[in-house]
Amino acid sequence: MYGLVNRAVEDLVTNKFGPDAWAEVKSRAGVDIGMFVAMSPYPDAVTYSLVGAASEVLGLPAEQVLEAFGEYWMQYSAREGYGELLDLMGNDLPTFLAELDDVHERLKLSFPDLVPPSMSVSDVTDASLVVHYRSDRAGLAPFVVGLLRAAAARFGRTAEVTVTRSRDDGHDHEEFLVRYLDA
Amino acid sequence: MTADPDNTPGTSPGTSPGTTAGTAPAVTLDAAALNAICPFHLAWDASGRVVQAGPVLRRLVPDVLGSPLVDGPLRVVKPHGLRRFDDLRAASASARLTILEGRDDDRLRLRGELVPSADRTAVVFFGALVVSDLETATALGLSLRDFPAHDGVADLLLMARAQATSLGEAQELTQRLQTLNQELEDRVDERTRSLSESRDKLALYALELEDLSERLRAESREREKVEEDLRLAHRLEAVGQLAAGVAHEINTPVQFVGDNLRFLGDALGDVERVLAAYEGLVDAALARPGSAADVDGLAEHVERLRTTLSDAEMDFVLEEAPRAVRESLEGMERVSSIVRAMKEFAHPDVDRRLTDLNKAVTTTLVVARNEYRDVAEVVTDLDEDLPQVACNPGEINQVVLTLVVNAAHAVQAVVGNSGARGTITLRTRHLPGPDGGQVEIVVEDTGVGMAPDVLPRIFDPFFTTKAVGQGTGQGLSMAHAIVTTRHRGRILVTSTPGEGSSFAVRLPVGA
Repeated sequence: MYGLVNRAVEDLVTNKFGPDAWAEVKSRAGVDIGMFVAMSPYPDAVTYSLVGAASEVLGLPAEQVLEAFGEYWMQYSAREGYGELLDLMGNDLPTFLAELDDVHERLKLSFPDLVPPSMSVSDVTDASLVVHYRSDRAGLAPFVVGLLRAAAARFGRTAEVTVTRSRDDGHDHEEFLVRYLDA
Repeated sequence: MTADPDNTPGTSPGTSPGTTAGTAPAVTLDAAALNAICPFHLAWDASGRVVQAGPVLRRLVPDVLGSPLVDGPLRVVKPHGLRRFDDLRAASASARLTILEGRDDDRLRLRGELVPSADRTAVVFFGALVVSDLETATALGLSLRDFPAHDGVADLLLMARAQATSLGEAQELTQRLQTLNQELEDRVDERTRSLSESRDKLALYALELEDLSERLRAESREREKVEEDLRLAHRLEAVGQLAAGVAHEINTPVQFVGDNLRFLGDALGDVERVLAAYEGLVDAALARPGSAADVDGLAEHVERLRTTLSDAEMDFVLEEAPRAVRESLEGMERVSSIVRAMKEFAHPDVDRRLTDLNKAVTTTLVVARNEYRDVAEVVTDLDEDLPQVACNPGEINQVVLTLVVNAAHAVQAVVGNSGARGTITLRTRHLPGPDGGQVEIVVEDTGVGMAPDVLPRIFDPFFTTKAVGQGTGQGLSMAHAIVTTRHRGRILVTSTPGEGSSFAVRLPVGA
C-alpha cells in the first residue's frame, strides 16, 4: 500500500492517543521508518503490522481499529489534498461509490503500484443500497464498513452498514447493506 | 444531424473506431451515444448559429443553443478570424486545432477539431473542456461523470492533484530535512563548543591538578615530617614520663654502691691502722731487744697490734669487702644497663634495620620496670630462634612500652595497694609463612580487662578509659599506626573483663 495509507494510520493514532502511543505502535510492529512518503509504495505487511500493533497497544479489537480507520480514511484523504476529487465524484452516495473504480483507475497513472479494490452498487432505493466489494486483500471488511459509513456522512446521511456476505462464508466477494437511518 | 461516414476515419461521429481504410462503417452512432462519448461537442448550421450541443456543454453554457458564431457566449479563438459559416467549413478542411473560449468566463476553454457534416450543411466541433486543476473543475460545477471514461482530462486532473500532493510532500520533506540539518549543525556547533570548552577546562584542571598535586606532595612531605617528629616526641614524652621511675631505678644501685664505697673506705682506714700497728711491732722486733724494757716494749707493740686488729674487726672487713666490691660492680652494671636501655629506647633512629625484637622486649622491660615492679610479676617467654625483623627499633620499643605500661596500669587497677601482685607475660614467637613469615610479640596481663563495647574504640585517637591525667588516649592509637601503617603489621586484641587482656603484635619479618 502507498505511504498515504500508513500516514493515515499514524495520523489517526497520534491524534486520538498521542505521539507516545504511535511510537509504541511502531516499536511493537517492528517498523523502523521515520516518515512514510505518501507517494511511495510499502509492503502490505507494514500496514497490517501497524494495525495489529495498534490493536494491542490501544487494547481494542483489530476489527474496531480497522473500522475506525475506514471512517478516518475518508476525512484524511480529503484533508490531504483529495477533497476536490471526492467532491467531483458525485453528489450522492450511490454515484460516489459507483465512481470509485473510475477514480482508482485514473489514480493508477499517478500511483502505478496501486492495487485498488473494486466496488459496485446495486439495489439502490431511497432507504438503502447494496455495495459489492472485491479485493485481493483479506480481512478488510471492517475497514469498508467504516468507509461506507463515512461516505454516507459525507452526503449528510446517517447509515448503518452490515456485512451481508463474506468470503469467509464461501462467497466470492463481500457484500454490504447500507441502510439509511435517517430515511 | 448525420455524421459523414467517409469523413476523417476515427474522428467522425458517424464512424466506428473499428473502421479501416476502404471498408464501410459497421456502426452509426445516434445522438444519445454522441452525447455520451462527446458531452462537450457543438454544431453550427449554415446560418452560423449553434444548433446542437453536448449535455455537459449545455449545462456549462446554458445559452449556447442558438447563439451566433460571432459575439456568442462561446467564441472561436483559433483558427483566427472565423466570422461566417463558410469560414468554419473552410477551416474544417485545413485546420486541425480549434479552440473555443467562453466570452464571459475565461475558465471555459474547449479544445478540439472542426468536422463538416456529411451533407456539409453543418460543421461540428468535437472537443473537450480543457481544465488543469480540480479546483477549477469543481468551481465550474463539473463532476467526474461529466468526463467520458476515455477522456484524458480527468486523468490529467488527478495527476495534477497527485503531483501537487507529491510536491507538497517533497516540500515538507525538504523542510524537515533542512530543519534536521540545521538541528544537526546546531548540535555539532554546540558539541564543538562544548568540547572546546571542556578541553579548555581540562587544560585548566590539569594545571590546577598539577599545582594541587605539588601542594599535596609538599603537604605529604610536611605531614610525614610532622608525624615523624610527633612519633619521636611521643616516644621522648613516654621516656620522660618514665624518668622518675628510671631515676629511682638508678638511684637504688647508686645508693648501695655509695654505701659499699663508704664501708670500703672505713675498712681501708682500719687496715691502715692495723698496718701502722704491725709496722711498729716489726720495727721493735728488728731493734734486737736486750733489756727487759725492750722486751716489755715489744710486748706492748704486740698488744697494740692485737687491740687494733680487734677494733678494726678485720675478720669482718676481709669477709665483707669482696662482697661490697662485687655488689658495687653489679650496681654499676645495673646503672650502666639502664642508661644503655634509655639510650637505645630514646634514640631518634628513623631508619629501618634488622632488629632483635627479644632485645626490644628486654630493653623496654628495663625502662618500664618502675611501672610494674610493685604490682606485677613479669614473666618472659622469648623465642631464642626469633628471626630479626626489618623495622624501626625505636618505634617498636615504643609499642612494647605502651603495651607494658597499659598492662601494669590494668593490673594496678585490680591489686591497688593491697600488696597483691598480678602477672604480666611477654612472649615472642616466629610464625612461619611466605617471605619469612611474621614475628609475634604478646603482652598479656591479669588486669581488669575491657568491656566488649570498648574494644572497637581502643585504637581511636584520644580514646582512653584511664582517669584524667593518667592517659592521653594517644598511646594505643600511635602504637596501632606504627604497627599497621608503618610496618604493615597487625595488632590482635582479646580481653575478658575481670580476667585480663592480651595484645599480640604481628610484624612481617620483611617489613
